[in-house]
Amino acid sequence: MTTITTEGISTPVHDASHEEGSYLTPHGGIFATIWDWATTIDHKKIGVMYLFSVLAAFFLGGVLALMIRYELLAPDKVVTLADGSTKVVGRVFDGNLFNHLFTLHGAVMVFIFIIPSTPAALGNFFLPLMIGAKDVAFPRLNLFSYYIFVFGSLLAIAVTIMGGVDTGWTFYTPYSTSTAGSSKVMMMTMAVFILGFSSIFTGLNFIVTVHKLRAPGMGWFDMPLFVWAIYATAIIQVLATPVLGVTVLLLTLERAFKIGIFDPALGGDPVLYQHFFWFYSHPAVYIMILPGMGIMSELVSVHCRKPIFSYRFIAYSSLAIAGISFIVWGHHMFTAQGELASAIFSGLTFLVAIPSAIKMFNWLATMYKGSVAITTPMAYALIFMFTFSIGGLTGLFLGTLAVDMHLHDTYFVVSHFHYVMMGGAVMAFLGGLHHWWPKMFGKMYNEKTALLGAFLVFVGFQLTFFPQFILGARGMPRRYATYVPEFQALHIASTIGSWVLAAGMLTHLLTFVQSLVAGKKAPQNPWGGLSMEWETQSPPIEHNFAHEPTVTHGPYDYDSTVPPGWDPKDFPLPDPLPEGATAH
Amino acid sequence: MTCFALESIVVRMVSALVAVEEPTGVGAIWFRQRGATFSKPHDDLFMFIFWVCTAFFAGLMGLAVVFWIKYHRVEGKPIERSASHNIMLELTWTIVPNMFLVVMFVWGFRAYLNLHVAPADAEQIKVSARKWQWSFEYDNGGAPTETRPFSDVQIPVFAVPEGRPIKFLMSSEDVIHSCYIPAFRMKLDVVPARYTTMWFQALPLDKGQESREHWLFCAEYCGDNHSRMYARVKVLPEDKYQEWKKELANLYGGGRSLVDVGKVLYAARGCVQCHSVDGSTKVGPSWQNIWGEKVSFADGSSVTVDENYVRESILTPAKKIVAGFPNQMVSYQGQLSEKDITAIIAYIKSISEKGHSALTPDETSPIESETK
Repeated sequence: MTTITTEGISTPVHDASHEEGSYLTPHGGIFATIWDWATTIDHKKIGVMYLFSVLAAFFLGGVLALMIRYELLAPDKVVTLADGSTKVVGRVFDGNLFNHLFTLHGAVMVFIFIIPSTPAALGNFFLPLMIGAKDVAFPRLNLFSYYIFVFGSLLAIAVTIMGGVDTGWTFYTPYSTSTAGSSKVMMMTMAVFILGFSSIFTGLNFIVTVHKLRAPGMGWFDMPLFVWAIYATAIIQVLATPVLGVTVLLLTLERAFKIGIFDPALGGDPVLYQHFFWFYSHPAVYIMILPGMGIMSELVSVHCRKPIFSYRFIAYSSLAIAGISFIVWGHHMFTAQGELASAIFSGLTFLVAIPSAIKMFNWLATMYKGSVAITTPMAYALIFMFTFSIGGLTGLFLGTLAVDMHLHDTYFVVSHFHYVMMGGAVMAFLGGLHHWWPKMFGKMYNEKTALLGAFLVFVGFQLTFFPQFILGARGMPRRYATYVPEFQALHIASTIGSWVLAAGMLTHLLTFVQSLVAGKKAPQNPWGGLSMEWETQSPPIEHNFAHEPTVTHGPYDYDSTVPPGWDPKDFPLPDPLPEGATAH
Repeated sequence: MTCFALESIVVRMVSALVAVEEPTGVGAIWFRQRGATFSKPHDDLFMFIFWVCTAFFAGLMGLAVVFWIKYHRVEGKPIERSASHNIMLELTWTIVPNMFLVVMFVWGFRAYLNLHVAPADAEQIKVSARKWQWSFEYDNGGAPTETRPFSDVQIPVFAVPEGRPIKFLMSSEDVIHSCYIPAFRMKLDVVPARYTTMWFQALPLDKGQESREHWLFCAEYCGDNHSRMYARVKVLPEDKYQEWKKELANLYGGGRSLVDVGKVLYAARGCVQCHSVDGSTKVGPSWQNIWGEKVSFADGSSVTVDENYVRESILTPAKKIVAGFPNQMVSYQGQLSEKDITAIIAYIKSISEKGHSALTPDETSPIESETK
């Protein structure tokens, strides 16, 4: 059965309207169903498997974070016992365990949760649907990507059980190649090497899908902005991830064969490692945020029932961010590199701030004269605007050379990246998850408990991370298991915040479980979206569309497609307005 | 260039508003005490960025809240039409923020350059970092001996003079560390097999103030005790500083015995980070009661702890690793003189039952005053 549609040619396709149920309907008993999922090449099932995997990783990373914050409630204190001897109190975890905890927290959150989260879970599910395709360009490669992801993740967990690593998720030399546990460091970096291929293959798949599988009538500027965002992300994934692969390979060769590339005793340069590492890892953070920004465009437009403001500039800014992301890596190394390099990287770093700011203004302008609903997706869109703005603005402090001399490697940096990664990418992910949940699983979630969860997450997040800006500016370095007593009050506030944040996440988990078990059946288009995924049933049938879709309107054409008085939640949409009446 | 002119105007305006030496107002939340001449320029720039960002943030979120309330959904109400792009608005909100970014970049770059070019008359202190201890060597060859307890380690205290430039010439013995003095608002990475330099000028002491102290933290993760690798910077008046410096070169004088000097070196040179003297096990074996005992190594061989074993453990520690302990110790070759090693041997003897009785008179009596 042909699964490829060619641009411009109207190919008769299998009429699937007679199929019963959806992609979730089991075709046999329990073993048959497990086998079906394990060997599926359906992008929707693969997306769901990724979703549950990344949520499990998020839970693990979150537990590690709670442990870290618990240790930081109190600094070391030396007490004199009755017999005159002294004892150190205030340490929850003995020895080097704390250092293992923050390393694993970073590695799990970056490589196993956040990088795959939106692209591999939501992107896999919705990219083909949004462009009217039956699947991605290479469905078998898609499944293979998932298995590489699982294998790499399990390897990382195995290394942890074997004793783990304590280098920080950045594996800086010479510490990583010379420390006593360096053999496990090498195994962990090999796990990262393997995980990288999952990212590369997914990116490759998405690029070809967007180029080749759009429905007839859908030009580049008729695509939803989520698709543009995933596309820009995929370009970064394909170009940048191989550099990380080579870097960790060099690290392994250095330790195994002492080739002398990073080891100063052998004539190597330890700072060179940092250049190689950040050449990938800076674009990587844009892999994390670009899909989230794509989700934002969807959420704001749909939940305000308004065309997105300045569509083209948002599309172009996604590509601009992807491009500029490759030339700013040195801003992670202002205290380690020379003056000329620092100056160039500082200037370029300010450049990358501008396209992001433009997007923020465009979303705000979309809300103007819209019809703003208070749904959980819209709540998360507003939370994103709040926290990502703070995250992005605090990047300006760090990009300013003289100020970075003070703030580098302090809690200010920790707070900045949590504001953009968690306050940005994760908030957008949660918003997107709630937005598309009815479509994915055919069930509504309880809006009231979800909004409560969003509120707790918002309050908990601010309480956890805002004090950390102050801690950093006052001189608290990062990756510290203990600290001088003057910092304790702010640390206590931050830890209490982490508990509120955890409560919010738990509320969401319970809301989703309740939805799956006993949620109300979801209509086809609960929010009144105009992009193509809303033209399928909830959940979609296995082949996505009953008939090959044709493009009759743009994804945000609220003002031209929906006549006044007509509720976009109702399907099918009425015929498009007459020629000349559309406003793009 | 207009950028530089604009930035100079802004710098002067902001600096004029904040004329005092202690952070005040909102700055008092963000900053600790100022310790060096660079502190206030840093704080001024930080606050400029802070207020610009706050203004934009307040504007953005203020509008978001207004729109959220004013345009909340009313079911059945028709959606108003409005423009989906506006070129003048978009150009404005691209160019205006850009102007602020240019000022931040130029101001930041120029202030940073000041940091990296030390005045020609700066006195040099050699800073050496190793896991997990800072050591300092002054231009008269002396090294600080005073330490303070923090958690279960001892941290070195070193002095700098008020009111004149000091240059740190820094290098690492092992992994990358970073020398961070928050009150001076500056840090620089300390890299192995390379020298990095930073300079500062400590602010003058207040009238009647004898000294002023600041924290020095390691700011690049370096292993187990990264979060305990501290030092104390002690700002002294010029005359007291010269006195203090002269004393450093006199480690072996002042009525101290070799045992006393060994005890000072134990704390001041970082042995305390990994070796206890009360029998407790840290990263390395305890020194208590170790003299004259047999120690076993990973390969099954063993040796009795004597002068040769202690000397070998200091200079080539990887040769013999006591069973059950990691190969973590970096060599002190070039860091401790032969005399220093003799002093440490005397100290180790003094805290062992077997060694105590083996102490010789020259180890326990005050050393004749001489320079090292």
